[in-house]
Amino acid sequence: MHKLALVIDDPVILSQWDDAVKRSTGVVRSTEEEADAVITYAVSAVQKSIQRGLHVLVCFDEAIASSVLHELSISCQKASVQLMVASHLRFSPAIQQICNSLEIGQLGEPGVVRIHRWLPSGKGDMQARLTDEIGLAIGMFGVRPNTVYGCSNGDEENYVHAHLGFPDGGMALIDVSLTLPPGDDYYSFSLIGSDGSAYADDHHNVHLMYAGGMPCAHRNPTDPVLNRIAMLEAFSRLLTGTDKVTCDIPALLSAKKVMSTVVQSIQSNQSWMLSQDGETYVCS
Amino acid sequence: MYAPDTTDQPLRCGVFSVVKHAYVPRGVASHPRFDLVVVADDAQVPEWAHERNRSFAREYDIPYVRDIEKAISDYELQVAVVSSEAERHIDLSCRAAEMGLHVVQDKPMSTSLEECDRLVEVVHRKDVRFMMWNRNFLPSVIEARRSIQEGVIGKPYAIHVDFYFAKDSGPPKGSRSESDPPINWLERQIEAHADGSDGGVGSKPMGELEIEGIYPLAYIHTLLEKKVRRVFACTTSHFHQVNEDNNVEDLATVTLEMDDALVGTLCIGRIGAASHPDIGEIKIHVLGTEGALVVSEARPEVSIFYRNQPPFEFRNRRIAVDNDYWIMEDMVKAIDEKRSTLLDAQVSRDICATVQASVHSGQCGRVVSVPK
Repeated sequence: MHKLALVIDDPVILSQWDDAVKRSTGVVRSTEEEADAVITYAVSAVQKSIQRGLHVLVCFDEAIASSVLHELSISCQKASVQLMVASHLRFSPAIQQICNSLEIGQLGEPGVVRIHRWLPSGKGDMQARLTDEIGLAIGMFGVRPNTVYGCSNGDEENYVHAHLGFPDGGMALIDVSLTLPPGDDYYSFSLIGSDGSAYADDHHNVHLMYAGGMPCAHRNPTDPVLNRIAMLEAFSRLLTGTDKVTCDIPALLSAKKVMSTVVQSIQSNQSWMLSQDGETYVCS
Repeated sequence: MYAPDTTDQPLRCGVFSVVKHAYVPRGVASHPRFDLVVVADDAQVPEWAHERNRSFAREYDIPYVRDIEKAISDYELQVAVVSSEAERHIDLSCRAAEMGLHVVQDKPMSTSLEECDRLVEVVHRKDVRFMMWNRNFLPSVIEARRSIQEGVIGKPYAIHVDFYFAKDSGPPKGSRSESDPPINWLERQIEAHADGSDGGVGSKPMGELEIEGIYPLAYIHTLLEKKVRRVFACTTSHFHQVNEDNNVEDLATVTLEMDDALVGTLCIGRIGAASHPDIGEIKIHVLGTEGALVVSEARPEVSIFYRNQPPFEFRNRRIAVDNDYWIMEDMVKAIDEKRSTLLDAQVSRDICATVQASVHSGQCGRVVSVPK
């Protein structure tokens, strides 16, 4: 049983994590002094925990500079601690279901990942949203894309489309829009594999509400605790060595790198290719 | 008192080769203004093609003539319905148009852009109407078009189309042993006739972009009416040995840069029968300045389940589909009113140019300009 300390200031968020810990197996809440791992949102708390030899589940709720992430990654290696980056997207019930099918081989080799992430204007930061989705796509293929292309409608703050090509022919199309009218968002994720396919689409999961005129599409609200329980279980498996880390700092850095290359592609109007060093992208 | 309009006489149609699934001539025949009166083909086509032509002629109780020009003059034809191997499409269409016939042609327009240009020129010079077969009159597409034209979502700025066919195409990729020869494209297509998946019939191998790309690109055209200027594509043979052996893709993604900074994308593939309970996931997403549309191309549909149902029978069946009639209604109006059809020769040629640029981009990994 892993002892978890919750180093979280926001009382609502703290309460959700507390609920998740109570509903999870393999972890129990404890004080910082007795903990062998922490959940936190603050970089300073991450650094402090690593120094104390504690494993970390970190939720970055703002953009963190790549240089800071590099330092944290090195610190983790030196201290031999595990660090998992929380991802509400990766651990959402729909994506979990698809990841499970992919991992046990039901879908074969992934061929296309298609993501639509549309939000009302003012809801979220474009680069952060795009980085999340790119990270998810990279996670599905398990490798960094070797071709990156991006384009926009002339308003990069509010609309970006990313087109990624992966080794062995895999490909991903991701578009993030921040222009929907006030109200609900829309999410669609599909994966076409060599042996099967998976479709997680809000379009398939709406109820109809009649209140005069055209019916309204109505979605079940998301339980914010469910994603956290899934994250805690993955974190617990990581700490016991029964699973490998999928959401870590190198994965986040990789997604950030690809995201910045998408932006460069938009600015240069060309596709970019992974260079021989396997790290940097060059304009083709 | 009712008086019949004597100008609405049926148009006499010749079916010029019907070697594929015969949905185009059947679709033409579904409209009361079009009469199929003869099937014709060139004498030198292979025997399997003659047999298919004969079979269709028998079904419709019309003659089969092994000479196209003779059939045109002997039967006083007004319309040609071309459904041959892809590489013969333009030749047959041009010969018909040169003799003053209007043309309804199956997709793809051609495997060669130069050939498309030739047809555009002939159609223009002879002042005949041309219709490329399409799916633009499906109820969902009509409704999407209406919503966009009425400004429901404001000014569109991005459109995304998924066009997956959940069909197999012979043995799966990786199933051929080293000692076996590569699968012959034409032989595989002839064999595929039995289950109607022979859309790529012909001696020249074609990927899904060439075979089916006209459909989603025609959606984009009919919904937004913008020209595609540049493309970026990723392509691969992911599913089928026949595609792998013939170096043509069965899975592709394309980004389209269009006029007015409009962004378009296309996912297309023959993704295997196991990948969807019906024909495949076919969706249209449109983003506008004031909202968005998410459209399932298959809807409306009804679900039918029953004991001993064959495993690959579609569980969901489209309803209220009258695509064939409305295509031909557009054609007959174009003929009567001397106007263009919804998918005329120039638009079809431009779509072919987009496809060719996409195939090239998929091969070179770079952004490619669409030939003007």
